[in-house]
Amino acid sequence: MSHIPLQRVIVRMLYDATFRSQVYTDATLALAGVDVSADEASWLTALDPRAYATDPHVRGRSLHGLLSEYSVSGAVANRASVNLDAFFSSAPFHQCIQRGHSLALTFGTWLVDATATGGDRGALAQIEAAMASLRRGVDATPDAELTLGPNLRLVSIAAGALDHYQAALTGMQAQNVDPATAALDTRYPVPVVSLDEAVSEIVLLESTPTGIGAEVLPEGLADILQQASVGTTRAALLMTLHEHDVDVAESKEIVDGLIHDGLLRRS
Amino acid sequence: MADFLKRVQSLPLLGLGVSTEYGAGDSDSALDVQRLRDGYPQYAAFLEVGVETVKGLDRHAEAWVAAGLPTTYHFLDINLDEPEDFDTPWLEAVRGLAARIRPAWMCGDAGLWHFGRRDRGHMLLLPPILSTDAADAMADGVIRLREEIGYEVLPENPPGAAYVGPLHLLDYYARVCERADTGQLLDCAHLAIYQRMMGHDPLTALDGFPLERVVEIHIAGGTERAHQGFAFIEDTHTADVLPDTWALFEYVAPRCPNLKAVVFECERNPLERCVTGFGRIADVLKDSVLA
Repeated sequence: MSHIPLQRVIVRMLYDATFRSQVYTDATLALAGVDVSADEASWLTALDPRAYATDPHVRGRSLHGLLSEYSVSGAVANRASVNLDAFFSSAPFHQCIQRGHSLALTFGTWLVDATATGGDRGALAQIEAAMASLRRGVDATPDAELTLGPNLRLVSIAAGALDHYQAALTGMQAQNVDPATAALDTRYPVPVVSLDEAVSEIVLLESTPTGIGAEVLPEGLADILQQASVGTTRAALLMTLHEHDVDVAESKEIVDGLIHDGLLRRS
Repeated sequence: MADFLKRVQSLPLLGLGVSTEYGAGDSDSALDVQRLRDGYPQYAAFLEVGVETVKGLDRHAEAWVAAGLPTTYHFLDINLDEPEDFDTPWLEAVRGLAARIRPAWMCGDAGLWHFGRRDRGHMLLLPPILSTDAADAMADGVIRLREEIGYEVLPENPPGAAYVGPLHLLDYYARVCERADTGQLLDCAHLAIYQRMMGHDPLTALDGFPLERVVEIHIAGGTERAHQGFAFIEDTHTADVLPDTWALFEYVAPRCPNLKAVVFECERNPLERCVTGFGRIADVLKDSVLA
């Protein structure tokens, strides 16, 4: 049964004129690795190629939708001349559609890469990508004795990024227009940022029933939670606390407290 | 379970009605369904409620349902031919909404409502792949939804511009209906779009379609457009029904012995713009089983 991969190829053809041309020119090459027979590929090219192009705004609409979750990073990237529309011609986009993955999460990863050498060092996209992941309830917890709580994410980003994110978001919200529109329309002012890549901060994002909160973690707690984010043991956490000159009794109390508060989850 | 042509006898006769979806009634130029029902009750015998489970019902649909008036449930968020789309949270949400709406049946475009998982930004509407394998998968989905939710499920032919596959659209849906043993929601506006796109006469292939399975008909206005020199019809749901769509409706409606409902999809137009269209539909229905 290959109607599903074939449908996904059609979606890619609707979004990307270059890919569409490749299918018409050499379907075997353009569809290498896709579970579509030669017969089915011939169905794709049996119609006028312009039939796939009747919605010239499909990319713009999708970008606007994506920026509702990436308003700050998208706004800053857009003002730094990152071509956001190029996402819909990128390899990650095509893989996302063909594999049935989340467009928002794929866009987040792409935007982190696209802004990595910019003034915010990709930090704003990292924050918003982690938020998008939390909204979708993506279970990122590894199989281990102790892990980060499922409603939490850590991002390691350039120092000052969270403050800048929150200030930019507040500024955009004050402009009385939806944030995605403000991100795309460069007439709305969005502060530029220049962060030092060499100095980083660990930000904890927490999904709650009322929204997603964010805070910069102090160094010791950051070490503990980073360790938990990749899966760890109680003994290893006690050892880390010992390295921070915390005595054994207090270390046990700290770990138990983190479990009690939901920051750590026992398997 | 009895075969569909027996089951259809127990479905209610709804008559001529209108459709809505979340937020459609909130714009200044939208059709006021309550005002339509007050002024022209014969044109608002039921409400077809378009439902995305993540949005639920808006205040207009809630008011209609609260008044105990007849409805149908039009899904907007299931790819019937993708088994993995039938996830438990979605099915539970549909069961909950159907229990509130208490529709006469479920129906909806049997095509691609979203790519990948059901997620923000994934929504679109494309026709299915017009092949026998895809039709069989669609039929499996119709059966599954009917069994999971407990209502008849009527597949609808969707609109589109890129129709891919070797089957004629009507042959595809005939196969779906036969294999799923179900009825069809025949959208005359969508069918007119397809026939025009393929260079067919509006009535092409209707002679091979089982019209006894048509339970519901949609009619709506469309807009003729061109892009890069390519002419197509956009399914705009204006009040101006195109001649091809009228030709289809006037041919089909009197020939459907099990027709139970007709929807004029004009939800985003003011009442005054829609009355003429309703009148013409009602005239055609004088020669149908809905008379």
